[in-house]
Formats: sequence, C-alpha cells, structure tokens
Amino acid sequence: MNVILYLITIVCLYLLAVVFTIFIALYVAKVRRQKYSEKKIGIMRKYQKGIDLLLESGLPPSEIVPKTMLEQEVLEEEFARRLKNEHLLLKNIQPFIRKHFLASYRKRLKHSRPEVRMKSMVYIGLFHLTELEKEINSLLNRKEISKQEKYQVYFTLASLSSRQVLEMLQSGEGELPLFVRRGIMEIFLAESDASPVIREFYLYPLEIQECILDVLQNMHVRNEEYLNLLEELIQDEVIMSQAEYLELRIRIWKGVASFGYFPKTSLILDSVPCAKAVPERIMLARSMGSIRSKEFLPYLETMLGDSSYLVRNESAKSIIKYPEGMKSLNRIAAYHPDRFARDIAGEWLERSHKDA
Amino acid sequence: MHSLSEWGNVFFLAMNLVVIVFILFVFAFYLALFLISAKKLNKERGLDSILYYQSLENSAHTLPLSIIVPAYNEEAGIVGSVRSLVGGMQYPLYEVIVVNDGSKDQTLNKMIEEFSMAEMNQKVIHRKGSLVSKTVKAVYQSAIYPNLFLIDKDNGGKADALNAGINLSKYPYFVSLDGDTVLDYSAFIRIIKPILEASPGEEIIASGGTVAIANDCHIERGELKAEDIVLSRKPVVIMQVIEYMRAFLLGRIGLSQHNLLLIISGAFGVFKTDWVVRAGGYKVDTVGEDMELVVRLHRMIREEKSKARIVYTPDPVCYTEAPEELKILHRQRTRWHRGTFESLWAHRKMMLNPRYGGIGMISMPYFLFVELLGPVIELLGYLAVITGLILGGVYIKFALLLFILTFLYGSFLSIGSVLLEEWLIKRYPKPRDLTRLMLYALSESFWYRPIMTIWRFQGLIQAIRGKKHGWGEMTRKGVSS
Repeated sequence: MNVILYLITIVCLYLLAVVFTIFIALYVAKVRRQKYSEKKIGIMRKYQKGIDLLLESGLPPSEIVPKTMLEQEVLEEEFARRLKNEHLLLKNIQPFIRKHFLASYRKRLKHSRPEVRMKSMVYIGLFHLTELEKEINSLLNRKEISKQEKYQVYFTLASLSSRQVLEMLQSGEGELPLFVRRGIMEIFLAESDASPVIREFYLYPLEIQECILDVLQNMHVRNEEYLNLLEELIQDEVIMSQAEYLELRIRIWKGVASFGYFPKTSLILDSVPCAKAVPERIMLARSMGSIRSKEFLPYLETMLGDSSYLVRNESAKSIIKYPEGMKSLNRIAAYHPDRFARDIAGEWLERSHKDA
Repeated sequence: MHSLSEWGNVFFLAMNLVVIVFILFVFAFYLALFLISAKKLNKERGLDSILYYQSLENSAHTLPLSIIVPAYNEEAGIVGSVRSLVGGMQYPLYEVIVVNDGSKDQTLNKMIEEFSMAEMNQKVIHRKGSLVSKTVKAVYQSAIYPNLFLIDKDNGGKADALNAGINLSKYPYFVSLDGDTVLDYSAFIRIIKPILEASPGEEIIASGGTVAIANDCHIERGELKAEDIVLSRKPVVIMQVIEYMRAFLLGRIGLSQHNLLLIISGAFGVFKTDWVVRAGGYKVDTVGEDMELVVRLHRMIREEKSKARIVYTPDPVCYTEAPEELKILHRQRTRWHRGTFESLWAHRKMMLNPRYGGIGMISMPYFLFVELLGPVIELLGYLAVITGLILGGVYIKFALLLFILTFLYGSFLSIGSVLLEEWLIKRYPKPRDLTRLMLYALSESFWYRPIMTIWRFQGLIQAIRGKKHGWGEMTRKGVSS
C-alpha cells in the first residue's frame, strides 16, 4: 500500500511540475504575442500614409522598406484587406511586392510548418506572383502533405491561372472532393480569361461543366462565346432529354435567364413540354420572364396552372415583368379556368399592390 | 459482532478498490482521448487563420443551409440572436426559421415587430416529410430579410419545435441552433467544411461545432468580435468555461476521430435533412433529444450498413449564456443527466452489441459507466475519503490515495484542456485570463466537481423515477445588446 501511495504521489507531483512548466511557457508566449500585436499596430500607424500612396499611385514611398518579418506581416495584411474590396489596386503594388516579398515567400514555401507554407500560398495567390508557380507545384511532391495543404496548392495554382489545374480538372481525377474541384474552377475563372474554358467546355466532366455554367452566370459574363455555348447546349438532344443532365439543364436555363437575351426563342419554346423536373420548369419560367418575348406569354399562362407552387410563383413573377403583365394577371385572376392559376395571379396582384 | 466488523472492513476496502480501479481506468481513457485530440489539433494548428475556404464564401457550390432556431420564452435574447444570423453571417445561401413554441412571453411579438414579419398565405410550402408536430398556427416571412421565417405553433417542446422547422425547411442540410446563441460570423462555413471536404464516396450526415460561454462578453447587435471575448469573473461561470473546454476539446474530438461521437450539441449542429426525416425527426418524449437523435442516426448507419459518418469539428464556435445561479445550473445539470439516461435506455439494444461496432462496444459503455454511473462511483469515493479520515489507521492511506486520484481525475484533465486550448486556439486574449483559468481548474476537485457529482446523481435518481420533461427554461439576461 505504501509503495502504491508513494508511486501515485510521485506521478502526481511529476505531472504537476509538467503542467506548471507548460503553463509558464504558454503564459510567456501569450505576453509576447500581446506585445507583438501592439508593435504591429505601431508599425501600421507609421506606414499608413505610405501604404495609401503606394496603393493609389503605385509609387513606392522611400520610408516603406520592410526589413523584419513583423513589418512584412503588417504590409501583407493591409494589402490583403484593401485588395479584397478593390482588386484593381493589385497592379500598383505588384512591383513593390515582387521587390520585397518574393524572396521571403520562396523561403517560406520550404518552411517545416504547414501553416507557414499555406499562409504564404494564400498571399502568393492574392498577389498573383506567377514566378512561384514551380515552387508551389513542387509542394505536391512532399511526402507528408495534408489534404488541406494539397487543396491550397490547387487553389493557389488556379489563382495564378495555371494551365495545369485545368488539365487536372479535365482528367476527372477522383481524389479531390467535388467541392474542391469546383472551387478550383471558380477561382480560375475569377482570375483568368474564360475563353479557353468555354472553348474546351466539352472536355470537362459533367460536374465541372455544371460548375463552369454556374460561375459564368454568377460573374455576369455576357459575350458571344458564352451565348453560342448556351445555344449549342440547348440544341444537344442528349443533354436536353436525359435525366443525368438535369442539373446541367437547370444551369443552362439559369444562364439564359441571367443573359436576358436569346436570339433563338424557338429553342426555348421547344423545351417547355420536355421539362419534367420542378427546378427546370422554374428556371424556364424565369428565362421567359427575363427575355420578355411576347411569344412566351401563352406558355407562362399555362405554367400558372402547374402542379408545383414554386413553378406557378415563378411564372407569375415572370408575367409581371412584361409591359402588359399586370393586365394579364388581372385577367387571369378573374377568368382563368384553372383555380391554381387564378390563386397565384391573385397573390401576385395583392403583393404588387402592397409594394406599390 | 467481531465477524460483522471484519465484513465491514472487507466491504470498505473492496469499495475503495472499485473506486481506485474506476478512476484509474477513466483517467487512462481520458488521457488517450487527450492525446488523440492534441495530435489532431496540432496538425490543424494555425490553419484556422488561413481559411482557404473563406475565398469560397460566395461560392455557388457551398451547400445552402436551413437554420432552425426553436424558441420558448426567449424574449431577452431572440432578437440579438436572429439579427446575428440574418445580418452578419459569412455564408452564400441560407434561410433562418425561428420556431416560437407557444412562448408565454413576448418572443413572438418581438420577432414580428423587429423584423417586420408578415403572415404567409401558404402555411407550409416545403414539407420535407411527414414529421409530426403540434398545430402550426401561422407562418411568417420577414419583409426586411426574405430568408427569415417564423413559425408560431402550439407548445410541444424543443424537439417538436425542431420537427416543425424541419418540415418548413427547403435545403438539404439544416442547422439546429438554440435561441440564445450568438455565432462566430464564419461559423456556417466552418461547420459545413467537413461535409464539403468529404472524399468521393464518403457521406457526412451530421457535424457538430464547439459551444463556448459568452457571459460578460460585449456583444453588440448579435455580433461578438474576437477582441471582445472576456472571461467572466464569476467562479461558477469560469468553471463552466473549463467544463466546456474539457467536453469539446477532449471528449468530442477524440471520439469523433473514430466515428464514435454520441452527442452533437443541440445548441449548434448541422444535419442532413433526409437522414433526419427518415429517422423520424427529433424524439419528443425525451429531454436529451440532441443525443437521442445522434444515437438513432448511428443506429441507422449500422443497420443500413452505410459508411456515413458523424463528425465534430472544433473550428466553428457558437456562444451561449451559461447559468450564473446555482439553482439554475442545478436544474440544467440534472436535466442533462436525465437526457443521457433516456437516450441510453431507448437504445439499450445497442449496448455491448458487436453488431453496432465501436458505438455499441465503446461509446455506449463509456456513456453508461463513465458519464451516467460515474457520479455513483465518485460519490462512493468521496464517502470513502471522509470515512477513511475519520477511521484513521490504515484507512488514512486509502483516503490519501483516493484523494490524489480524485485530484488527478478532476483537476488534471481540466488543466490539460485549459493548456490545450491556450496552445492551439487562444480564445481568451488576456494573459491574466489564462492564470485564472489555470487556478480554477486546479481547484475543481475541491468544490465544483463534488457539487456536480451530487447533482448528476440526483439527475440519475430523477431519471429512474421517470420525472417528466419540459423545455428547461433558464433565466436569461440576454447576451446581446
């Protein structure tokens, strides 16, 4: 009993000593971190005017010469904050970043801690430092690369408009989650010219094609290439008829709705009877409201009697967009033989009166 | 008489032995969880600030979410909570469904006034399944925030309110959120991260986040900034802060690594809607509806031989108000303990049943012997220490041994959690907060843990007696100004 008691006491004291030492170390680190933050605020105050000048004119002020990591951190954070709102300022600061940060990033990409490498990659992508593409690529060969770091490598390569990521996406490699692959395409399109992606649209797997249409629509791309692609897709019988392409079709109609113009309206009319799924019918109704071609009106009136409330709702919303829309809804609310159509027309008229 | 005394000695020593073995076993188990958690957190250290997925905050591919906020007599905090949800969340597409579960206070009126809620003609547009709930009196939509809905229904309890919210929800995943919580602005992006990152073929059906305590923090218009996080000065609150750290950082990370997690806090968790609907939604006749649902989902996973997973991710944080009065804390803890009992009892078939894999063989026995019956054994331990000290002689040694072990069990794990939190998360910015947390963690075994042990024991007795459940009302000041 004595031995056990003695041993347990020793273990307890030993553990106490360990936690106390860790506590002291963490406490000291915390105090240092606090001082570090205060220093950062001081540096920021000192550099503020120079940073503004650099961002606005592109002329590097002589007083800003980052010598320490702390100074670089302050500048990085401020540049990142400003670029988030005004991406066009990048061209003004890029020469300064190349001159002062490039070597540091090259070194930090070889750092042993993943968070240092990843943080550097975020800035490299943000500052568009294409010179470091090779170094970033080489990170994929590291033996112990975590999945988060791997995703970051691809995201950064996409930010640098690397052709390699497009090839990776085209090959349809299954090791990356769908969300990441879509994210890569999203970043690529945000940073680069969409033409090569539109030209090679058919080389991508279906889920990436869906993503491409989503991004082009979100970015409000409105060029002939994109319009031609939408036309081509609508004319493709396989895409327009098979169930596996439902999500793609929804995005096609979404794209058409966002475009607000479509020369071959007959293609849309031909698709109305084939649209079986509710989201597809909603998007078709939305496209017809967005294009506002008179020949769509009878179709929209028919869709007011759809079995789905959401389709009826979208159709009524689309009719209102027509110059004579309110009149049509009044007529439908009073005389339409379908009760659903009368109800939804009435609901939208009521809503319009409230808004007015 | 002599023989009776000898038997008494044998019984006393045997009791000591049981308690000692129990404490050593549980300590070893927690130590293993601690090491697993430390390893995982260390691997992800610093990545939090990088947040590559922040760039995807406007992505069209981030899964849309339905946020369900059940509320019962939450007039003090509901407006602040909802404002933090509709106004400042960094997430591309979501809807907020507040479910007023027949509140007797001004919860409904405050919601209607603050957010210009107008009654909708179509009461239930998106019925996901046939989850049963008490009568829905009205459904409102906000004129200011089109993605904000309010269900006014008859009182049926939190689970019933959540079921009504699920019926109205239109997105494939829903988040259950307590009415008094305040979220980190990127909490949705963070909690959905494991679901988005799932490898091809992997399915994550639920993900839980961390709950932290916001008492005495300055929250303005439903937003809590990192620099405004302060540690309360009230001992009972500080002890709860430490308790939460231990529960989330130690227990949940460790268990989640091997798909053994049995609890996703009702205060903040995301679930795949179709799985929950298939499971029958939240069970209404239990106080531990959050744990019960997770156990039921695990049961479904095993019975359907699915590879779906339930995970915990320490990143996303929701802040809640902890009880400051012992009376309310007592009510909360006995209630939680009853919830654990009811969940384990409802799924007793899974206990030590190899068919249910790690859940049946590790998680359920852990919850039974450590969480549920632990207070009984701990109470015996405290009694043995006191008796040993009174009896003197050889018993003093046993008493000392038990005392040291209780200290190890009670305080060391808490200290470990405080240090782990400081090393990897650093939620509290001031150095003096660390010192206070450390000192309070050291003191845990001497006052807080015995109190909790007694309350949990009471909870167990209440559960066995079959005490009726209610909403678990709590007097709140409201955390948001």
